[in-house]
Amino acid sequence: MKTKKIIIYFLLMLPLYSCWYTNQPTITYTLVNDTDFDVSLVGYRNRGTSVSDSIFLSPNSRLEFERQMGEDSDSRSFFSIASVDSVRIVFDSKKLLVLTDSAHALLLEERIVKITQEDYNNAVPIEN
Amino acid sequence: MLRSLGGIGSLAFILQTKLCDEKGLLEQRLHIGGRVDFFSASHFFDLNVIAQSATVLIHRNGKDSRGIFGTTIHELAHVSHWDSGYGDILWVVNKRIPESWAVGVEWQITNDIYQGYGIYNNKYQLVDISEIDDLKGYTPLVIDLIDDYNQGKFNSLRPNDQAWGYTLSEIERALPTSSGNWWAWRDDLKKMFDNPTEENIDYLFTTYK
Repeated sequence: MKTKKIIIYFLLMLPLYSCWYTNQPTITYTLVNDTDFDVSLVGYRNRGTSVSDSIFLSPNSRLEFERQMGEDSDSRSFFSIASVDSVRIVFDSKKLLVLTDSAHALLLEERIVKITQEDYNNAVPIEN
Repeated sequence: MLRSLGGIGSLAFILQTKLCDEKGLLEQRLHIGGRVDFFSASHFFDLNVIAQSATVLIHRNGKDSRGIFGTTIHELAHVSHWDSGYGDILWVVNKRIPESWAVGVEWQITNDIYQGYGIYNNKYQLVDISEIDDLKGYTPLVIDLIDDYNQGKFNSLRPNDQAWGYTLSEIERALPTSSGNWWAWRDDLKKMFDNPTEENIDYLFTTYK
């Protein structure tokens, strides 16, 4: 009887497991470097004091980040940590832009965010 | 929902399968398993009880503690729903109802508990209308019934969500269980509760159907 139950269980489980595994929705975030400079970004979260991995973008390039929704929803967007509340953007290792204003699309976690010439213009020279 | 945290799914009762430490119908315990490795999506599956394995299984899958909490709440929302009469066959036929419900419960409770950590699961507000089928049933219907954020206000490609103010408790009381369907959920919400935005919920149910 027990063996029968276990066989029924596995027969039911196999298609459902494969369904769960392959049938989860995702969302894609796209980060675009619209400048002629190398760009590196690091995200920070004040609560819990977390720092993300660095993201590197060559001039006029883009990166896509696919995040899970559904059962194992991933609350991250662009960065390797969730709920980033400030960002440091470095252009060609020469200029620095610090974003702490949530009005910037990067902090609003829009799905497509462009790093623009305006961001470069707003950056300040890095003093050696 | 809290009343059923100690319960397991109705199908397990039918099969009369109990774990060795379960004391009886009213005192059965819910088993939650945790895994660090990536093997499968986290899930609730009441038939796991046949193999004496946890009915709720949470995979870490790279999530932080808030994410693990949120996923656990999502699965417990399923446990509660199944305890009210929903079942595996209904899930196979239409998972839009249970998954939309679980997404909303996960969003609400996790944001309540983890206040000050930024909005959890904001991504559900970033989905265009044309992408709703890609959500595979995991719609933000319940989120939209509760919150006062209209994702279509600044982006016409996204749902024009003009409903708000429903509570999780109200939405749960109208939630279809062993019978009922997507439209019965909407109709019961309208019949059972007074909400100044109720004329706008037709749009949400139609958009996410």
